[in-house]
Amino acid sequence: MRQKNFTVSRDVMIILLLLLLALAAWLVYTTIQKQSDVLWAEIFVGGELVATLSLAEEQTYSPPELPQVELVVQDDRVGFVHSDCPDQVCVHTGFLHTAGQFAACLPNKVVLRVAAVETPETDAVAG
Amino acid sequence: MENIRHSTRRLAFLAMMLAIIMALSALEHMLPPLPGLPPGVRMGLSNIVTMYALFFMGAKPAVSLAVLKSLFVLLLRGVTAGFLSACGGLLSILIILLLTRMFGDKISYLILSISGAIFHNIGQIAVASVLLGSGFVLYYLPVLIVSGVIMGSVTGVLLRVVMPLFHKAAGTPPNK
Repeated sequence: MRQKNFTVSRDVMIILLLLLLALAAWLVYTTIQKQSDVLWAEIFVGGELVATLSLAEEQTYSPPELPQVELVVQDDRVGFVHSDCPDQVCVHTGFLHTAGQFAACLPNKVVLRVAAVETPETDAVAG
Repeated sequence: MENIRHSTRRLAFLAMMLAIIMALSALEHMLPPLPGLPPGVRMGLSNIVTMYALFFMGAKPAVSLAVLKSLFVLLLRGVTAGFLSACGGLLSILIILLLTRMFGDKISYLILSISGAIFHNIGQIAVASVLLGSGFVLYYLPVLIVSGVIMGSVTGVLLRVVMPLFHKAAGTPPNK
């Protein structure tokens, strides 16, 4: 294959376009999200919603069949604090605080997602 | 000119590149996950090697390297991580090939590298979303694009730097 140029002048424009695209996606996202919503943590095991936790209440939670996976809600944030997976990516993701953020323990098939709900019900809410 | 297609030298060179990929992958994974990025998205230094293979040795060696890297990840970090690596790596290669076919000489290595990085990220997170049954892509799209631009630039520059060294080791002349 013939060697190309490393960079051409058009590249600057392309990069700017990409960054603009990123900005547009971000604007779309923040416009969709309303600020006054109450934040909830949704916990999925194997694709099924098993729990909805309010971020306002400090609590610890483990999915029913997975006592080795622990999540904690603290200071309006939620995160994995313990898991038996080899990766520990879930724990290292840290604490989530904004709607749309997620953390996952893929080996255990546990997904933690933050959702904004306008009128929270006491029962589990469909995401 | 030595026929680079079927030679022992080429095989040895590819094996060495795989070793570099594995070393880079292991190194990257030791670093903490970068904040703000979805879980599992890392720097992507191994793409330097995969891109070199793609540009100068053909699609087959590049895809082989990507698959072998995913097997390596599978051995070290499990099935899910290996699967994500496979999807991200293969999508990245596919996109670079598509762009090369579409634009030929008019596209530069830098943009190819950036596009590869962006789609590597997108591939991983899209597959993770499908596996887990939720749509996460919109929230992380801005971050994926920006980090793709940054890391794509870094790997692109590094590729440019190592290119002559790889050429020498492989015996590939720069202009065929």
